[in-house]
Amino acid sequence: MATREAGKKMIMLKSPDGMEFEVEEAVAMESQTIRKMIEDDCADTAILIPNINSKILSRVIEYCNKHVPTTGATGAAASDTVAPAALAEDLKIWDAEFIKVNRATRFNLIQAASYLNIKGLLDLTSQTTIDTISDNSLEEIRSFLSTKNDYLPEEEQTIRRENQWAFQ
Amino acid sequence: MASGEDRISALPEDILHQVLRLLPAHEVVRTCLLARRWRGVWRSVPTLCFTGAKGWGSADRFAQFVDHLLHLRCGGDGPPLDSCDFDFDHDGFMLWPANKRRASIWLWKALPRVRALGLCIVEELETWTRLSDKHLFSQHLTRLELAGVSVSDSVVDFSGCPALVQLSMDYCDVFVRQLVSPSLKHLRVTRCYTSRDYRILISLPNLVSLEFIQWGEGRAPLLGSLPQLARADIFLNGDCADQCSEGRFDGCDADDSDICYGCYYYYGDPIHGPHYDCNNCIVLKGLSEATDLELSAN
Repeated sequence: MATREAGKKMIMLKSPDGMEFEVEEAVAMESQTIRKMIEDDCADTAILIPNINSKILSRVIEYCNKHVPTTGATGAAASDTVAPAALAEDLKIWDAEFIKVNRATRFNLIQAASYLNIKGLLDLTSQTTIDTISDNSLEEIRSFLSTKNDYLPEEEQTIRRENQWAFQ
Repeated sequence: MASGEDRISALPEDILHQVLRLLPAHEVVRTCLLARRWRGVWRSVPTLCFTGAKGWGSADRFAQFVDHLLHLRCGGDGPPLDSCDFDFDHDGFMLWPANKRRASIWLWKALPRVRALGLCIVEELETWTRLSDKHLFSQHLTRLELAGVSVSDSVVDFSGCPALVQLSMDYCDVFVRQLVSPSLKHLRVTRCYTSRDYRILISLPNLVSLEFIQWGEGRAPLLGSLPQLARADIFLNGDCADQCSEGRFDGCDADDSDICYGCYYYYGDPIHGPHYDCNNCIVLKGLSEATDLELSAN
């Protein structure tokens, strides 16, 4: 872990269960939350990431590693660089593999992406969840989301009536 | 792991919103029936995305739904929504004049209450929907994205939207003479039809990036003062009306009575007089402030 390419600033991320991950600053800054900490000089040698266990954090870092711009450009210029179509296609395939996880992991990833403010990861995890909701029956959605219907039958009828305007 | 555990309902409301922002508006409202936890979640999702009349049985049912939801979400004076998108792609809804009028009302209803507004109507060419002539007013609007819309006022003035920084027009009819916005930073005009008879004057004090990708015929834009411009991508295609049809780089001889149409207008219109965009550097002059410029000839 100690030997790194010269010139690349490293940063330590710590999960609440005590694991430490050394990542390049540029990778960590895929998270807007961490970027802000670094830019505001709030980041010392290690940043504690609350509420995200080491298993999820390592997946998040894996995602950021893959998605950090590889152009070598710095600062604002990097975000202006448009990825060539082939690279974008490669990322899409990689994302599709990456998100093949169970529901619990996916919801944890949503939570992590939201806290760390990583737009790409939030979009990916949310879209995968949305795909299971869209165009399915209520029962199917409940099953996909592992949500139990705790309405009383008459209660459900009332709500359906109240919101009839939203049903085709 | 956690097979029977209801993990998504356990997520905090703001994260549920993050997930639901990608769902069409009618499906968002329908989550109210999932379980008690979900009953009122839809009321505070900060985005609205209307995906057209498909699946609604009748266009009227869909329109009533939009009326109702916009009334609930954009009717009051609470905090503005993050975004509102109307995505009527090939569903035929906007082919009816009555629906165009309705859509226009929806726009004016949503406009002052959202930070980002998107309108995508891709139908047959003849049916492009015209953005109303009224001036646009919103204290909150930062992003406006139009696709398949006709923008045909002589001057499109965004002075009433002081927070607007991003304007994107794709596949639009842009028959305007001038774009005005004191705040706009990023302008994209791509695959649009522009006039053969006049140029769009783009003179924006805060513009940082400009993307102008010409698709059909039309005049080159007239770039005025762009003191903040840092990046520009300009593509003028072979049908650009500001091109010497003789293929001469410096234009055919202005004294020649056989001067071609392109050069005739390019070097100043003798009928409209010299005040009319008489400028032998229509594009390059405006780009002279750019620090990062890529020019390509096709």
